[in-house]
Amino acid sequence: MIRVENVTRCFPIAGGTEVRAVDGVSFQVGAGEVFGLLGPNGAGKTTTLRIILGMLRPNSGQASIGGWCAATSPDEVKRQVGLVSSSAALYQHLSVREMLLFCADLYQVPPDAARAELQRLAGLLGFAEILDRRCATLSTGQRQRVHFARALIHRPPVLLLDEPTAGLDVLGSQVVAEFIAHVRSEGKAVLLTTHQLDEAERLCDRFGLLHRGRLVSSGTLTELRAATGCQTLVEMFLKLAGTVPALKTTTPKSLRMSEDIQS
Amino acid sequence: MRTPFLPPHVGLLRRLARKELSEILRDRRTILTLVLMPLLLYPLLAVAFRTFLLSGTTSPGPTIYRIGVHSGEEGESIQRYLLMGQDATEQRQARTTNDSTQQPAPELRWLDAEDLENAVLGNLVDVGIQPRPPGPFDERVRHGEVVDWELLYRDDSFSGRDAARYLESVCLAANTRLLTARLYRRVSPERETPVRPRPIALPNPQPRKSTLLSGLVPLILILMTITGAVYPAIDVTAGERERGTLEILVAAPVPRLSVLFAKYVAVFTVAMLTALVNLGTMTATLYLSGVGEVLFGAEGLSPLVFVQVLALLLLFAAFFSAVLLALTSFARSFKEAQAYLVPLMLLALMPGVLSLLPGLQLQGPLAITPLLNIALLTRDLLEGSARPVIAIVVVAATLLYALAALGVAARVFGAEAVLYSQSGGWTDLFRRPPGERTAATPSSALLCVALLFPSSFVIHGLLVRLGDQSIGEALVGMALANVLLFGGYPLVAVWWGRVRLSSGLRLTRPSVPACLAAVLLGLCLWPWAHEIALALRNVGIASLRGEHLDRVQGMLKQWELLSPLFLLLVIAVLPAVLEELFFRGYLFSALLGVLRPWPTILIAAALFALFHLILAGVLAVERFLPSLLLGIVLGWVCWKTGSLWPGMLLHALNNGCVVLLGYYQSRLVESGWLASGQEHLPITWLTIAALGSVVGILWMGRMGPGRYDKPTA
Repeated sequence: MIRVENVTRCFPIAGGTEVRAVDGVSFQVGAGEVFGLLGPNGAGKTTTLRIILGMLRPNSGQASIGGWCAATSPDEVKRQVGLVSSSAALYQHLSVREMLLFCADLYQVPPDAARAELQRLAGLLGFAEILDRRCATLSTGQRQRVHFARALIHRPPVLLLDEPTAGLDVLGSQVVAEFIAHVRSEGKAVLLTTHQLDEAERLCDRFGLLHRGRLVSSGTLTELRAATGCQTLVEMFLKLAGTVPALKTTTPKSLRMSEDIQS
Repeated sequence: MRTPFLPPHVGLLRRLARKELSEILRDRRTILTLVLMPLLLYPLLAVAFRTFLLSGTTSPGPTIYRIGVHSGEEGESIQRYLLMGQDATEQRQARTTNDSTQQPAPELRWLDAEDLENAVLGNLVDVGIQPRPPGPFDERVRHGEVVDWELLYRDDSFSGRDAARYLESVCLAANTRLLTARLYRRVSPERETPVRPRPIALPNPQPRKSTLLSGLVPLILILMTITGAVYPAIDVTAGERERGTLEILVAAPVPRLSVLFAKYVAVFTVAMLTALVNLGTMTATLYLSGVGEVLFGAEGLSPLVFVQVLALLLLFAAFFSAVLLALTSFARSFKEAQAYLVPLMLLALMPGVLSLLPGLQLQGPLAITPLLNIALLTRDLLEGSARPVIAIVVVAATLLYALAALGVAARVFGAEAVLYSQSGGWTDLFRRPPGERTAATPSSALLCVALLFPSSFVIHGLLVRLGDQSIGEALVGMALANVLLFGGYPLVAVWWGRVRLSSGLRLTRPSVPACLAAVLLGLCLWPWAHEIALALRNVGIASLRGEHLDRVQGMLKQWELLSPLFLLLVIAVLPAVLEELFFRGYLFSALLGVLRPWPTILIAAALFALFHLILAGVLAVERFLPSLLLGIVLGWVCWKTGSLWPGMLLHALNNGCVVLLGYYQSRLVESGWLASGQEHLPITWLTIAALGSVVGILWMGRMGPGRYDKPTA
């Protein structure tokens, strides 16, 4: 479903130079698969997502969804995708119903179909009782549910989840996990970006490790373990990125002091 | 990525705009600016105006009114009657109010005047009292007769209006006392009001001078309209971006420009509502407080003027909403947008404050200075002294500025550099594109038109004012100005935008039949332009008066001193080449990249006609329709042939025929080709022109649409 081929994107920065936010990244995500694009802040995850969605044009390479090239047919690509982003918000002065129907309208969903889908999603995600409340009055968990409904209201075959658990507590994260499991069961292709590697380990089928814009490794957890000799994604990432964990070599002064006291 | 300039789905646009409006109108801050501010501001303003107007006429102590009466017994009987009224008023006040709170009664100063009307109009008295029937009336009133008093005051005199109201009340008090006395004495069964006061406002025949206050009213209206648009503009752009809701729209398959246009409609609607509420409240306040009549006269607040001022405010709202959107689209947060708007507001205040200068005339460059032109035109409309030519210049300039601002907003809104680059700035958007383009972007073209119109107005205005120059020098000056404007602007824009000359200016080689058809049309279309202009003049749609036409005749006489080749080059060929280069070359290809052919043809033709509306500083309404029709034909030819050259040929021949007709007019009359004093062209000429036009159009129509390139971005 999702195909990213050798995509590179640079941004100009002050002083006339430029930074390479995404550097020759390639991967694929199939239907019913959850692919985790992992990396620390600034690794290029969100930029990659925006290129896939046609919101940004790559300097080279190309991204496509269902055969549609994101750079040349952005509208067709956008129709195939539901986006959940941690930076997105809801329209404060609209009710949940108004907002979701408006979003369905943006994707040219016929009004009757949109209303039926809204009822289905409200039942599925458990927010039927807040449909007529203004978005400004919702709790964080309720907002999260509405965001998921917004991404699914036009029944897209592909979901892009950009840091969906950022700022959520354990219960909120659990809702996200259930949501991902549900959309996987519906046969949708899911691309998830996060820097919370333990969580990704739980949710994803395959992984791509991004570091400074480059995809340093990709595969299933078993493949990655075999290739790196590490057990967890955290260890793998640190090894592949060539970063030595600080605590293994140098013990902070405070810890040394506590050890002294114990001894 | 190609994004249609005009939204493809009107329904979607409507729903987008409705969502934006719902968001804005449900926000309490909008309602505060929209309704509460005007309701609080204008009554306070009326009080301030009254205080200001009366401050020059009042001094500490009781108010003094100068009352004019005819000398002799008539005046004395009026004084007696009013003294009785004043006495009655004082007694009643003493009974009903505490001494400490009692206001001192106004003092009446009596002045004898033979001609009361002149005394009032000359501001020698505040009110002149004229009894009807004239003469002393004590006896008549005693016998139960009714006397009318005309209380004459000048319509723009605030003290006159107040004095008339006071005299009316005093007169009624005197009536009450007289009737009460009659009842007590039962001397007369008459219950008719003895004296009936009738205030009459005399219009001041002197032209009303602009005052600080008359300039302040439009300025306040404009500033309030700006205030109404500022908050929504920030909210729908930077605010949405800060909150993260813009991502919903950007991630959806909706053209970026449709989203922008919906936001523009929403901001404009709120600005429009603000203008309407403010104008309504202002009009009501000025009317009820009487300040309006003093400032602008009886006609100043008529329904027609209300509609005209409202239309002007709407035009201004359309322009300023686009400017605000262009500016706030850059901002990444509400705070940043506010920081951008502070200099804009200060910049807007400067011309606004200038408009307060009493006696400042709306003319020349002031007519094309944004905001100042609207403020001055609003003031002139309220004072009833607006001139149509200048009004059209102001409206056209503001419309073009609005288009240009929308063009910039379209370039800025949702651009990658603004949406996603954290370190990108303004300069990123105005950097030269890295690759070659096949046509200019519509935003660049609109910006070019918006710059061209005021430049053209100023340069041609300067040439007219230079005065002492021969006809040859004047024509050369005009030609150089045209080269600079219609040649310079597109060429610089093409170079800056890295636009390929052949496609961006449509300089492709035409076919021979296309050129031949264009020649035929160029030779046969001009009689129709002439006849249409004549027909318009005959039905009264004309603004060139006798003296203008005499000036044209004088100019034709002067042409005879020059070589016909020189005239053809300077008046016919050069303008044709340059105008085609701009309108059907640069502008046409830019619009054709995003619009369908007919809207492109019509827009280019309308702008072409707009530039022909003003002829040497004089409004020539009758030129609009012929120019528009010629522009449509030229655009159609350009589209059909895919090249600029046939249109250029057609245009040059059309101009050339008109120039030669003017040059050889007297000889044509002498040789019998033209009838003397006959405005219409001979019927044979018109028949040949009709045949030629039909053949030319059919021939051109058989050619397939020309090849044109789409823009690369």
